[in-house]
Amino acid sequence: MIGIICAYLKEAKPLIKYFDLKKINEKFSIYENEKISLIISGQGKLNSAIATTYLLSTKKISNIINFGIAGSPEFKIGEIFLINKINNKFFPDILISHTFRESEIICADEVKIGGEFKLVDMESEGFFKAAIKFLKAHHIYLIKIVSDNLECFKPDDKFMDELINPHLENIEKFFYSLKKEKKTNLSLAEEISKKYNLSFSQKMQLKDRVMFYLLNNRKLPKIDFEKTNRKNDFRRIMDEFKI
Amino acid sequence: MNLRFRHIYVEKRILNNEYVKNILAKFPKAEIIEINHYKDRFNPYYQSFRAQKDAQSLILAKKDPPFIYEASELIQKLGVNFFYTTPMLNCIYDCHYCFLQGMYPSSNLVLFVNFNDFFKEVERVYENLGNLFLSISYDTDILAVENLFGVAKKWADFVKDKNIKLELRTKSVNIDFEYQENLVFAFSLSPETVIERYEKYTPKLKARIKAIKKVINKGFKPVIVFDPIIKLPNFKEVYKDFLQKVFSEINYKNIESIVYGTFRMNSTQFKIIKKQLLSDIYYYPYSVKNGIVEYEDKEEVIKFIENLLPDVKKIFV
Ligand code: SF4
Repeated sequence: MIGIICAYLKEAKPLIKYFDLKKINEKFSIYENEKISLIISGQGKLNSAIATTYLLSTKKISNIINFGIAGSPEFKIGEIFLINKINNKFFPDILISHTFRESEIICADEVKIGGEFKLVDMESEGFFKAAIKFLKAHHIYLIKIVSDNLECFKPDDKFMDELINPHLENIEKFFYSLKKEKKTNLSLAEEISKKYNLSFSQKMQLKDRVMFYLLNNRKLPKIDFEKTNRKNDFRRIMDEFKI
Repeated sequence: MNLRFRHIYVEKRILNNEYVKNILAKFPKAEIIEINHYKDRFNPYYQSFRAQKDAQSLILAKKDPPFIYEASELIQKLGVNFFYTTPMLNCIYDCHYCFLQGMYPSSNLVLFVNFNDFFKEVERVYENLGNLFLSISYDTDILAVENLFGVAKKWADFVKDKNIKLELRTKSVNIDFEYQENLVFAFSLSPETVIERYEKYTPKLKARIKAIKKVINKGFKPVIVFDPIIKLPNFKEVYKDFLQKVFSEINYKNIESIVYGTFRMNSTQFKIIKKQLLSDIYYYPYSVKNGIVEYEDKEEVIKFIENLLPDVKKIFV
C-alpha cells in the first residue's frame, strides 16, 4: 500500500475524492481504498511523527508520502515540488524519474513570515524522522504545493481544490511509478524442511540452494521420496539440487 | 535504465572551486543540492546501497586527512612500498562481487576535489621513502569516469619525473594516455559470461582486449588481472576458452605480470551483501576460514587456472 500523511483534512479532501477513499474508524482519521491509506495527523512535527508511526506500524506500507501545502518567499502559489532535502540534514532519496520540480524545505516549529529559505512547512522533519525507522529513504517522499508567500491566511475548501486539483493526475502517475521491494518465494524450501523435519542449519542450506535455482531460472526438482532418517534424507535432497 | 547523476550534492565550502564549477557545467539538468559535509549525505543508515546503484548521485567533497594508506599485506607480497589513495568513494560499475556493497551505507559516488592536498601528502611520503608504488584505483575504478572527471590524468601529471609508479587498475577502456614510463595499467579481465552476469555497466571483453593491445602499442607493459575468478557451474570450460582467447590475442611477452585469485570475501561483508543483492554468487557452497568466505575447493580451482597461464611473472592474491 501507499501511505499518505496529511496535516489537515483540508489538504486531504481533494485526494480523498479523487482516489475514492473511504473513512474507516480508528484512533486517527484514516481514509482508504485497497491501494492507499491516508491519515490526518494534525499540525506540527510531533503530530506528523505520531501519525506516520501509527500508519507504518499498523499497515503494510511500501512507500509513504507526506502530502501538503507549504509557504514560500519565492515560488509561485500553486507550484508543486518533490522535496530533496529537509532542514539541511535529512535527504529523501529520489531514485525514480518524475515530472515535478524539486526543492529543499525548512521545517519550522512556528509559522514563519520571512527568512532565507525556499519552502517552509511544519511537518516534514517529524514525518521523515519517523518514516526512516521503518523504510529506506527511497520509499519516503514529500510532495508540497505552495499555498502562500508567507502571508497569514485561512484557506477554504474552494481554494484548496483550486490549488490541488490541477496536480492530481500527475500525483496519480507518480504513485503508479513507485516501486515495491521484490520478495522471493522460498516456500518450497519451507515445505521440504517441514516434511523431512530438517534442522535449522539444513533448512538454511536448502534455502540457499533453492535460491540458487531460482536465480538461474532452473527447474526446481520434485522431492517426493519416502522419509527415512534426517541425515540421509538431507543428503538425498541436496543431491537432487545439484549445482 | 540508469538514472545516474541526476542529483549532485556539493559541500558549501567548495562551491567556488573552479574544478567543481567545471563539473557542474557538465550536468546542466542535474539538481544541485548544497550540503555542509559529504558525510551528512553519505553516512545515514536509512539509505539503500542497492537501490541507489541504478540512480547514483554524485557528491563533490573535500577530503580531510589521511590522504594515503599503506597496504602492508601487498608490501610484503610485492616487495614494494605499496600505498593507495582514495580519490573517489564507490564506483559507477556494479559488480556483484564488489566488497564496497558491504562496506558503505550508500553507493553514491563521492569525488574529492582537493587534489593538491593529496599531492602534498604523497610528496611528503615519497620524499621520505625515495620510491613509491601508488594505486589510485584500489577500491574504485577511477578510469571508468576519466572522461567525466579527468582524475587519473591529474595524477599521471603529478607523478611525471618522480620515482612513483602509479597503478591504474580498471575494467574500462579509457586509456587515452601518452606513454609514460611510470604508469602501470592493470586490466581486470573476466570471461564474457561473467561480465554479462556479474559486472554490470562494464565494457565487454572484446573492448577490454582491444584497449590492452592499444596500450601495448604505445609502449606500456600492462598487468593483467584475473580476480576474482568465479566458479561457474561449467567453470573449467569457460575459463579454458577465455584464457585461450586472451593469450591468442595478447602476446604474453608484452605484459608485465598476471595477478590472479578466486572469489573471496570478508564474511561480515558477505552477509550484508547477501541480504540486499539477489545474485547467485552468494548462493554457492563456500567455506569460511579465518573470517573469509571462499570456495571449498579453492586449491583445485587455482591449480586448474595456473596450468592455463603463460610463462610470465604471476602474483597470486
Ligand atoms: S569495478 Fe571494482 S570497484 Fe567497481 S564495482 Fe567492480 S569490483 Fe567494485
